[in-house]
Amino acid sequence: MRNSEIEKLCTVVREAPTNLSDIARARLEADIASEIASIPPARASQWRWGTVALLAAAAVALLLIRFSEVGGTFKRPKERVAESEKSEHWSVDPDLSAQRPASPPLALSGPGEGVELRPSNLSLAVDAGPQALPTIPGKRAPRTGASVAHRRAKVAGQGLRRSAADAVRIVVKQEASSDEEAYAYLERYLASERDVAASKLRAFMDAFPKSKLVDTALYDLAQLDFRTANYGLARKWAQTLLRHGENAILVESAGYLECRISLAEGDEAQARMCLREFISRYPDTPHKASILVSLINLDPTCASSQLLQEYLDTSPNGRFAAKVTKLLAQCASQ
Amino acid sequence: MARALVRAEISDGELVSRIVSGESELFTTLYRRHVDMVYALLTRLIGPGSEREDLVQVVFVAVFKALPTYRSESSLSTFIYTICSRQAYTSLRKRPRRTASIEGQDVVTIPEARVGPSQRASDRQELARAFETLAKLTPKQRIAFVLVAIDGKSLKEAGFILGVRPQAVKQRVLSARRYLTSHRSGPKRPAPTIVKTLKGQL
Repeated sequence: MRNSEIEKLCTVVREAPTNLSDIARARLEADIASEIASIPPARASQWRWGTVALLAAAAVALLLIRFSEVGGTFKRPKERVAESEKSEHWSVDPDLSAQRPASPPLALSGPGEGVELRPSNLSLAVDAGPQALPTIPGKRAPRTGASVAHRRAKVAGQGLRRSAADAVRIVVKQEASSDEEAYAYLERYLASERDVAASKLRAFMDAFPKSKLVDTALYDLAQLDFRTANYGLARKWAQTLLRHGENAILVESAGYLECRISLAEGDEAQARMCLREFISRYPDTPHKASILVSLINLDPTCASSQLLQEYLDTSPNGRFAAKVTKLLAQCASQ
Repeated sequence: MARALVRAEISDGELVSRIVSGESELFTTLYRRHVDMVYALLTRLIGPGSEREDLVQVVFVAVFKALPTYRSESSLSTFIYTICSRQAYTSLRKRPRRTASIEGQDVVTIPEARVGPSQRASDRQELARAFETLAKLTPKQRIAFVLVAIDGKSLKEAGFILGVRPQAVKQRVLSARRYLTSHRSGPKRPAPTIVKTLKGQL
């Protein structure tokens, strides 16, 4: 598209006639009046302060969760450093030292020349640390201070991850006063990493299981998984929407998505069946042209002449119209 | 009648302060003053379609709720523009991205004053094609493009409306333009898939 065409587009849209009919205007006026009659005008500011209070409560809840999972006591930064230094006795614990990546040997100059200094030698020289306890055959080795610290840190890490998931639920439930606000809050994550977006969408469905937006969440989940080639999961979400969805537009789109999943998986027989069934169920679907092209591509011979003709009837000015016309002529001459 | 005349003389600022102080029946005056602007803006932002009217209602209810936060630093229409853009953005994000073209019947719903059926049909086609092209942009690009390139807002104004820096608006408009420049209009586009697949068969 050239710049002049873009300018023309702008002019066309700018000059588009946009008169609201008198009937629609009056109906809207009545609807709005009845809706605002139930809202006190000061509610907006109250709502803002309510949100601030809820956010503060969520922050406190997060702190408490973290507090309880880190071990019940708050530690000052210096104490934390000392504790982490203590847990550096990894060289004593054979299991942990095996997990540690090998460091290149350091050459020592001077009296001890020729001795290779490895991290284990270094740490033993500085601090002997707790001694490894003898292992009883058939029993798990008793935990040293280092391994306990290591495991504790690991558990704390899991706890933090878990608390992050809980935090999503807390925020979804408490910050937003309605499902629409919660969804608007979640939508900013849809373009981000798949796992983050998917967990937030699932949290939304947990928090608002009866919301009308559950259909949208299901469709967004299916789209996310389809885009990242998780076809099994994408199919699961799409089928859930097909079975339980109430939003007719999204149910229709989920049906088409299911067919696209079969196409992407390379299951041509299933895709063909799915597309034919879809087009017979939704003859006026806006996806009709794309579906016809997919069906033609699944059987790219003159046997698809009927589909080619149908495509021309559906989209006489469509992307493939010129080519399809030519192909139809070729098939007719055979 | 006299009351209606009095209402017509009230400035926007006074109107807002009276609505906030409890005279919520004056909101009808505010609605009548701004409904055409909101409807036209929504048409440009989300395109023609039945959801525009629902969105007009959503916008005005949101305006009513947000009125206590209105400060007279900006005009009331800018304030409404902001809410309108946010609601349009939410709507564009919720709707599944259009893969098929906007059909003629969507555009027919726009009342037209021009004469001549062939002229009307041609205008409809052109308008449908324009909205179809706009529908290919991402919601952020589309809103920035409509505000700056179509409505003629300055980058600063658009930034104020969208709650972002003017530089960010500029970036969105540029990326929209870049997208439009790199994509040719619909019918001229070649058909790679079908050409590739059918070439050897026929």
